[in-house]
Amino acid sequence: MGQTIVEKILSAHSGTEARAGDLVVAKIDYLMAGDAKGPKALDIFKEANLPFRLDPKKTDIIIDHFVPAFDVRWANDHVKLREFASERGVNLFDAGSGVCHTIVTEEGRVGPGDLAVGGDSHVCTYGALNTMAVAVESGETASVFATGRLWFKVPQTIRADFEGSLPEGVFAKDLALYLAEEIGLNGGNYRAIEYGGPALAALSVESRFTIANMAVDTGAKTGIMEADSKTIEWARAAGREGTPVSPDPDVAYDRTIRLAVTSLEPAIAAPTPTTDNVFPVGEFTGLPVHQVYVGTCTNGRLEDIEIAARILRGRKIAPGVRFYIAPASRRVQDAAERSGAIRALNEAGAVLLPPSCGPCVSMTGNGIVGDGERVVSTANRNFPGRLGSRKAEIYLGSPATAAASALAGRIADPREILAEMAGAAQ
Amino acid sequence: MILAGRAFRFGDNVSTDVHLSVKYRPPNTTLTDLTRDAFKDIDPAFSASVRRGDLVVAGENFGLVSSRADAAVVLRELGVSCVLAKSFGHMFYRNAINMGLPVIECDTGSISAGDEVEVDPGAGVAQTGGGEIRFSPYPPSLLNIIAAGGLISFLQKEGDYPS
Ligand code: SF4
Repeated sequence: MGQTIVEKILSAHSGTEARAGDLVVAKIDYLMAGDAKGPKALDIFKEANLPFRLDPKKTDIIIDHFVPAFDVRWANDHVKLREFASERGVNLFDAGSGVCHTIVTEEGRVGPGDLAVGGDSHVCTYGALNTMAVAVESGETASVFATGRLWFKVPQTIRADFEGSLPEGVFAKDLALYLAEEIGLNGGNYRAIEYGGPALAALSVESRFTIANMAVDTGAKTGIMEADSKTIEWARAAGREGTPVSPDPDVAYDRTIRLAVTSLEPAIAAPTPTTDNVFPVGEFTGLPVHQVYVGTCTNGRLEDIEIAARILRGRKIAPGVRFYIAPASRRVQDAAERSGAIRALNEAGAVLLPPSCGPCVSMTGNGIVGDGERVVSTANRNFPGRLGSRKAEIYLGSPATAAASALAGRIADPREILAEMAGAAQ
Repeated sequence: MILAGRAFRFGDNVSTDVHLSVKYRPPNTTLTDLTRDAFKDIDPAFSASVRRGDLVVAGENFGLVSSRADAAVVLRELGVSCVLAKSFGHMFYRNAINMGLPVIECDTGSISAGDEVEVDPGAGVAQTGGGEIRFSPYPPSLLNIIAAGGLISFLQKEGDYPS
């Protein structure tokens, strides 16, 4: 019987024929260490007195969560990370470079067919580049520093195909949310999601990152897409070739999902303990909003900032709304400045934050909300208390839904303003 | 490596919140506190009655949800030799092996509380009163991690995985 993409990648990296359920030891092509879990990994590594045997070119230290540092504790962690990077000759992306996952994909640190690990849940973002990327704990990071390898249990694979074509006002984020709902919070447990279908093929690589990013929010170990001409072009522009890996035709998937996208409406994830509480936005339109955020590793790329700017250009956000934007990297910020998107957003009343995680989770220390406040965010998680008060409500949606809501001061369907704009243009 | 002991039986979807029993634990909670209260919500007598070598046997999704390594550490501290379950939360599964606690995915339906169970992870077989259960065996590299008491201790001892 044939092999899935992850079975093939793990076979190539372990020198065995890896099948779902097997335990293998595999060579790691890339390791990402950030400022949230990296410092603990360095402590474990130092305390265990292990030798550093990983090729320093195969790893980066990235400071993105606590930016700028707002507490001595984080500042000291940053000192530790910088010292380690210079001692070991490891490349450092310091505060303000952007969100780790966006940097890694933009800088060509991973490419098709690679096996990557990182100390952050959302490394699965790299799956859009046909990279198998898995989140690891601090002890595992320390072990990869010492050996360049890691053990894996080969995951089973869920195949998810997006059929049809996306209607106006519906974006990759909406697909990611509907799929999370379909799979369920733990439906992906210890599995890989393999994405495909014509609606995925029609998306830009940027949009595909949004979908791969949320694989972990179904409990999945990783998510991965086949490489097509767009992937290869992206990887090449970032300085990578890679070895694209496709699934065999006769694969026995654990589960197959077909999501018809043509009739979908913009999605919103309502605040419950889980992310899989997804509805058409119409269920909640009209609810007053206090804070809106466009950014994060899910939706802080150029495309995302551009669509928000398109909606807000020449308009003003509603009084009483705070609208934060954090470009996911310095490169994104630069491109959005040159395109005029940042200026349009600034004039509309948005607040520009440095390229970083921004108000995605309260640990980053900015954009904290109080009791009774309601947030629309483009992030990937909305557990109670994620942005401070457990009495605040966080709704997740696309950048278009977020921008339309900032404009209205209430949860809004972006198709209304987009239709109005199309009408005015005629 | 042969692991043998009495079975403690749990059901499906035992989350790491249950392992640690203190959902929002105050900052000064010690490992001893966590160990004493482990699984209190579903079996108040567990930590007092479990003996060195005993096994935990569960249904689907054992150790679901969070990445807290302590969920595996408390079981090891209590002397549990092995956990058998139909499936595991993926982070718990990894943490357990990395902390030197063997975890085995197999059909646990025929095992009852109190059964004497003998497990050979390297051979991929568990002997129970009701017969034999087969599972995919641990490769030698992972058996070495378990034997060394966890991933970091293994690397301190052996330096690297066998090539
Ligand atoms: S943007 Fe949010 S989800 Fe992404 S890495 Fe940063 S904190 Fe995590």
